[in-house]
Amino acid sequence: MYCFIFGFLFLKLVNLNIQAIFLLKPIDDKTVLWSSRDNQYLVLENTTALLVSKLSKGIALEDISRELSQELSLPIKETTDFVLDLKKRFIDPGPSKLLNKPESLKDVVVPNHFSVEKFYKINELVIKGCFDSQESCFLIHPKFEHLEVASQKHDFCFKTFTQDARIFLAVDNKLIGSWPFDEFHYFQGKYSMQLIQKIHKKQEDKWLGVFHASAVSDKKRAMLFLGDSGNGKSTSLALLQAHGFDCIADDFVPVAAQSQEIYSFPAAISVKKTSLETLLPFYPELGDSKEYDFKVAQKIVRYLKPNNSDFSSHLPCKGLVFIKYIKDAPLSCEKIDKITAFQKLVPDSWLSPIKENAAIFLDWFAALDCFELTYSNNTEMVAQVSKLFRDEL
Amino acid sequence: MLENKKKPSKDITRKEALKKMGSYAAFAALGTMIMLNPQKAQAVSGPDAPAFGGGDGIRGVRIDRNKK
Repeated sequence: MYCFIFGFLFLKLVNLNIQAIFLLKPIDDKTVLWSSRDNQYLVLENTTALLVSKLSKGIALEDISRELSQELSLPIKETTDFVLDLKKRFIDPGPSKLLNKPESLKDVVVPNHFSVEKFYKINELVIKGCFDSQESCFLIHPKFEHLEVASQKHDFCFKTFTQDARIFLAVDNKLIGSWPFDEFHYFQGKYSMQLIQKIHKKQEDKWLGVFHASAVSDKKRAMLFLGDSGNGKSTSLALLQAHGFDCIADDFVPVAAQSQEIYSFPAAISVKKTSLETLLPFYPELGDSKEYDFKVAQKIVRYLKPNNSDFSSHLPCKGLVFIKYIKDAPLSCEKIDKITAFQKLVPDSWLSPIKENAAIFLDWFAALDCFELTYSNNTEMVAQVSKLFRDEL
Repeated sequence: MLENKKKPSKDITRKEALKKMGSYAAFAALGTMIMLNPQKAQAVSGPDAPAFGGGDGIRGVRIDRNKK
C-alpha cells in the first residue's frame, strides 16, 4: 500500500519536473514562444501562441477548440485535432532532451605535472594556463599570446589535459568538464566562458548569452556583426579598428543579463590568409606574425592584437548587423525584419536556459535594430558602418 | 401517393466558397511554426579550431616556425 502511494508521488513529481514554462513575446507580426523544456524558441502565429497560452493555463481543450471553430467557421472536429496536436507538442510532450544525466567527473584526477605553462595578464588579473602537451596548448594559446607575461604570482589556474580521447578543463583544480576530441570547439567555448567569468566577475547564470559575432564600438555603443564563416566578420572588425573603432570582441561576444551590455573578450582577431593582402597596409606587423595551419579545417590564420587594452569595458548594444561579403556586389545596407534576424541569430548562439534570462533576452532583442550589410568595397563598408553609428541610414 | 420532396442542395455560392477557402487558409497558417534551438553550450567557431585526429592524439596544427 505504501509502495503504491510512494510510487504515485514519485511519478507525479517526475511529471511536475518536466512541466514546461512558457514565455511569449510579440515580435513584428508573430509571437516568439520560449519553452523552458529544451531551451527552445518557436516563432508562431499570434493566434497559435494564444492557444498554447490558454492550454498552459489549464483551459479545457474542448472550450478552446469550440471557440476556434466559431472564430474560423470551421468544423469542430478539425479545430479539436489541431488543438490536441498543440497540447501534445507543448503541454504533454515526451521526456526533455535536457534531462540528460550530468557528466560524472568524480573518478578523474587532475594531473600534477604539465609540460607547458603560460601566464596571461588581463587587466590586473593574472591567469596561469597549464597544458599537458603542445597540442592542447595550441587549442588556447594562439588567441591569447598577446597577453602573455613572464611567470609570476597568479590569480587563477586553468589546467588543460587529455585522457581517453577527451579534453579536460579544470580551474583551480576544480574539474569543469570534459569533451570528446571532435567537440573541441565546446572545450574552447567553456574555457572562454570561464575566462569571462573571472575577468568580469560574473558567474554563468549572470550572462544572457554568448554570440558568434564580432563586436565593435565607437566608445559609446557597440554593434554586433554576424554572419556565416567567410562573410568577413573578422576582416571587417580589423578594418574598422584601423579606422578608429574599438574592438570589443571577436568570435565570442558575451552579453550580461542585468545590464544587457556587450562585454569585452580579450582574444586576438583571427585573420585568414585570404584577408592578409587587404589588412597588411593597415597592419604591417601581420607580415611577420606566426602563421597557424589548421590542416583539416584547411585554414591558415594569423592573429591580430585587438586595439582595446581595457578588457573590463562593456557597452550597450546599438544594433545587429548581418554582414555579407559578395565579390563585386554594390554596397547595400537596409533594416531587416526582426523575425528574419531572429532566425539567423538564435541557432548560432548560446542563450541562457534560465527563465529570467530568456525573458530579458527576448525584450533586449525586440528593442534592437537589425540591419543587413552587403559589400565588396572595404572603404564603402567602413563609411557605411560609421553612418550606422551616427544613425544616418 | 408519395410526395415529391425537394432535396436540400449541397451547392454553395462562389462567395461562400471563397469564404470557406479563406478560413481554411487561415487555419493552415496557424500550424506554421519555426523551431529554433540555441547552441547547447558555449562554443567558438571559425578557423581557430584545429582539427583533432582520431585515436589518442591531437593532430592537424602546424606553426610556421620560419616566422617570428
